[in-house]
Amino acid sequence: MDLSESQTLLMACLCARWCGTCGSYEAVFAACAAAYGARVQPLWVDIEDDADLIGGIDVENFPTLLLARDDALLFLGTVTPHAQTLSRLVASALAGDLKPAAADAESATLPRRLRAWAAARQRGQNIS
Amino acid sequence: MNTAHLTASPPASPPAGPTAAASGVCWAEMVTHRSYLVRFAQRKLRDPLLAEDAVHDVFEAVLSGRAVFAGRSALRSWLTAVLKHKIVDSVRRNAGTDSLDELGDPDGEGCRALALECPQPRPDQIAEQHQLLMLMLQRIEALPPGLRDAMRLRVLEEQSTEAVCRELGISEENLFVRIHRARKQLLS
Repeated sequence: MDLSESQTLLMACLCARWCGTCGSYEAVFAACAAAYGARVQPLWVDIEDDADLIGGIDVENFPTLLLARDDALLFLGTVTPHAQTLSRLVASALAGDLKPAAADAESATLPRRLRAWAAARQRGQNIS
Repeated sequence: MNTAHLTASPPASPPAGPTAAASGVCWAEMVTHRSYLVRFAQRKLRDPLLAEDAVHDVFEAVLSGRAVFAGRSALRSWLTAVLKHKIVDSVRRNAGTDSLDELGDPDGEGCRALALECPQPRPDQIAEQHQLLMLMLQRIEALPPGLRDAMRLRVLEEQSTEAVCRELGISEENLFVRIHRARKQLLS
């Protein structure tokens, strides 16, 4: 099933301010998000600044990528910081080639928390 | 040691005439300068007792004939010059010591006597540190399990990175991320 027309793919990068790799990866991430336009919802999340959002989820290394369709977690894991890797994963998710991933309860609900967090942040920006 | 309280006051009666005469100084005239000399010494020494001692030493030197007034200057100028030497002697004598009286003035400059204070924490400081430690341990226990275990093994038990990674079955990078996340949460 091609998901690109019907649903926006949540595309979140879990990073930390002190991570040098994340710093250089941000441009790669932004470029990929721009390439896919409205088909993806990009989020850049500092797991330390927003520790409550991530909770006890183990982030093994950076960058850690999360892909989700609606509330269904498709991918959550550390990726190599290359544009091709990111683009290939996003394309697969949009094409429906990634199936919902098995996850613990906290990880499984992370997409919903991230969307709520992004919506709240958006509202805050609109107010200010 | 200060002895001024015992010796600073001039003798009740003038000393024997020959001694004073040997110094070329009239005792009665010399005594009239005493207040001035004491004030001068106090300004230099900033210690009333040491000042009295220094002036006493001047008088003693004059009376004993060790200092002889030749009349080449005013008596007060000559006594002041002698006093300056006594002040220098006093400073040298006390250079390696601090008065315990200064303990009452912790803001005073050069109060090296404060070094006598025990460098160990006071009981109230120990109690405060203990409370902070207990609070921090509680906060570590309240961390998510992954972060808590990393902190416990690596920071509290000071196990090596290799040992912690082996025990938790994680990479060094993961341990680093966990420790960093934990510290950030503990400091928040």
